[in-house]
Amino acid sequence: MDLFPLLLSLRVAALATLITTVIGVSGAYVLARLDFPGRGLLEAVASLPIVLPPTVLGYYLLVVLGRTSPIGRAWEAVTGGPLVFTWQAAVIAAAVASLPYTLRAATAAIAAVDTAYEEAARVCGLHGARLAITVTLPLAARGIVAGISLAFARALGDFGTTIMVAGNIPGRTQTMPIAVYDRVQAFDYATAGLLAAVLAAVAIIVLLGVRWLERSTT
Amino acid sequence: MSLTVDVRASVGDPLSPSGAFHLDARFEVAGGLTVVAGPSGAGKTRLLRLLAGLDRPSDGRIALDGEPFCDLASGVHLPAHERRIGMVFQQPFLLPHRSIRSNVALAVRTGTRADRRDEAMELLEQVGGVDLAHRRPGQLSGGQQQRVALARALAGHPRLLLLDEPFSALDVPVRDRLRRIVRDLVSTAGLPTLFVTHDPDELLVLADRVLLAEHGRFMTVTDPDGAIAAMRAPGPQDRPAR
Amino acid sequence: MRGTGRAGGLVLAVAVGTAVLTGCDRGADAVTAERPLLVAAAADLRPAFTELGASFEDATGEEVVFTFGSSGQLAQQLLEGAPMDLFASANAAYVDRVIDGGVGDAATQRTYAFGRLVLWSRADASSRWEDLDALAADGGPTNLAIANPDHAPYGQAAAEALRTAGILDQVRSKLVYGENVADTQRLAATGNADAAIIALSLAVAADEAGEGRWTLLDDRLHEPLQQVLVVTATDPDRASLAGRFIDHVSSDAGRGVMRRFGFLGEGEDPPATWER
Repeated sequence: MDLFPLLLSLRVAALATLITTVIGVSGAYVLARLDFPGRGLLEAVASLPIVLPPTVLGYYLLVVLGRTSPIGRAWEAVTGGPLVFTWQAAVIAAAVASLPYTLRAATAAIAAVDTAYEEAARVCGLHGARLAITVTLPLAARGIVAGISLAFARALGDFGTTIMVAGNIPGRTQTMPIAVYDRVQAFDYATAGLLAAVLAAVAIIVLLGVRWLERSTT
Repeated sequence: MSLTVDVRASVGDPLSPSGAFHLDARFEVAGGLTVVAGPSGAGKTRLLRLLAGLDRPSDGRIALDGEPFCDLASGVHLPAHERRIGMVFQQPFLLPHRSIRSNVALAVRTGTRADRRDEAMELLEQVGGVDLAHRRPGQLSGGQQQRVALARALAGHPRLLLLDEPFSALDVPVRDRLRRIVRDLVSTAGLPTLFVTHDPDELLVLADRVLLAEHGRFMTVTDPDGAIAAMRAPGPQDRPAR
Repeated sequence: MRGTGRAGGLVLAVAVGTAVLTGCDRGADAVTAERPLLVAAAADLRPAFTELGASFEDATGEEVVFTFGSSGQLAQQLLEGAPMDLFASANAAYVDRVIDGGVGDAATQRTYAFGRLVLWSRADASSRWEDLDALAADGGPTNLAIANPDHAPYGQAAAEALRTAGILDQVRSKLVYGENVADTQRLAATGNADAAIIALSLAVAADEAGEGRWTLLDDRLHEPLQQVLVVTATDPDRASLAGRFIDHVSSDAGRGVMRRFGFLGEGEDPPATWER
């Protein structure tokens, strides 16, 4: 079995999850703890990737990252090649598609933290980022971790959005889900089944691992 | 030391049985332990929150030894984390994911990590909780947790100590023990303290003086019996709904 | 405290692991001639080009990697900057569009084969339809799969054939669309469609597995499926490598393979064995 799609998928999902964790958790903190005009709208927009069909999402990403877009041109100026149809574009696709999972779960978890803990800590001298990291986030950890693991699974399994912005280039951007599709297109059902089983097994192992981690820290 | 309070704020939810009313606190308190007494819903908790900086008054000024905590007329509002006040709430609110020692050390504001740990141990000793140092809050009883909360409140070398019915959820013998600890600590440290309670026994044991709260207003009281009678009177919450 | 330490350790492990995995791929990202030749090819070419790719590798030692899809989608991706070196479309129009869009060297544009349509169904299907009229008559299939005419040349040709045969309106309600012609065959192969109009090359490939029964359709029913290719590589080394692959496909041996898989040269007749 060619290992490239599996390694690529793991790399893409890991990087995408790193990105969505940083953006998702900090964004969730803002949404849960700050009140500002337009907050509801921002929340709704941030949830769009779940609501939109993957190919629609892929289309918009293509518009935003394509060769004629400002981002695409800047990338090309720096690296000499387009951003689309690279594994980095696959990371962006997976990150955009999976961000809402972390964001929503973390927002709910942070909002559920009793502000009394934060108040007690404030009186003790904690504030700002230190307060968030020492008090709020650990208290919300359960929900946040659940969101992150869901986001990872989603990033690992992305197909429609990835294939639109990164294409199906064997040895370059052909992730596991795309490889399964490609094998089916080639009528090679045996390999397709094997790849699908491996992908499912990896996802299950990771999710079980997260559960074990959760248990051992509470 | 002198705590000068002259603030207004609105209290309560218009839809609740006690209705909304206005807090209008004008008083001055010298050092020692001042018990803030009065019926439920009189605004005692609100007063402490205003002093701590957890709530903002709509108007007025609070100053400790001449230094303003807030002064709405000149736009000053010192946030809670800068006031160097210690506070113990009705619930301990200790961080469950950290050890007891770590919980107290977090509130020590200066020094290296090792210094803070040492200081935390000293504070735990003062409240009689040294052997709890390496446990987690979840493993402690309510009384033990409040001891730790007290140690934490003292950790930042506060200039003012606020306690909002800290022992009301605990058993009588535990309460007695803890009350004694508070009394001793306040005396030895000479720490100005406001202690909210609506338990008349606590008033008798602790008070150097009494601030009586009634419907948002506060009066310094010299006659403890009168205060106790007022405390036993039905509060706004207890009145039958109109 | 211990909990945060362990969680922190895991985050670190993931970060390091990621960095390692990322590092491994640096070579493939570099724009060098050591990268395999990337060929974007229409879905119907999969069986033929897979074999030709293997023989090219044996002959030259150069690796070829294919992305198969519907010609319209591949053209779209090329215009968006997909880094393919060669585009082998199932028609001429998409190649024109790509060249008009500034991608591809017009001088290298050429017709490499003509495609044919067949009416295909599973070998074990209870019913069989020998010609297009049978599709519209009583006892016709419940559904008929063709490639999506919006972006798949074989789908356009199939729709055209149905229209020319005068039965498009009658069968319209039975039509199901495959994303590309290979997907279309899969619809029939899995029994989701009773019959399909697909490329001859795919029917021939399925024959190897004894999988289907088919009838060759008259090529006067549609515009010729003139399959055109163009070199799209910008780097001269890769363009020349693409050229070598084209030569390989156009060689006598290459043409033999193409013919065997159902791609005819200009003016060639299909071999007698195909007439079913």
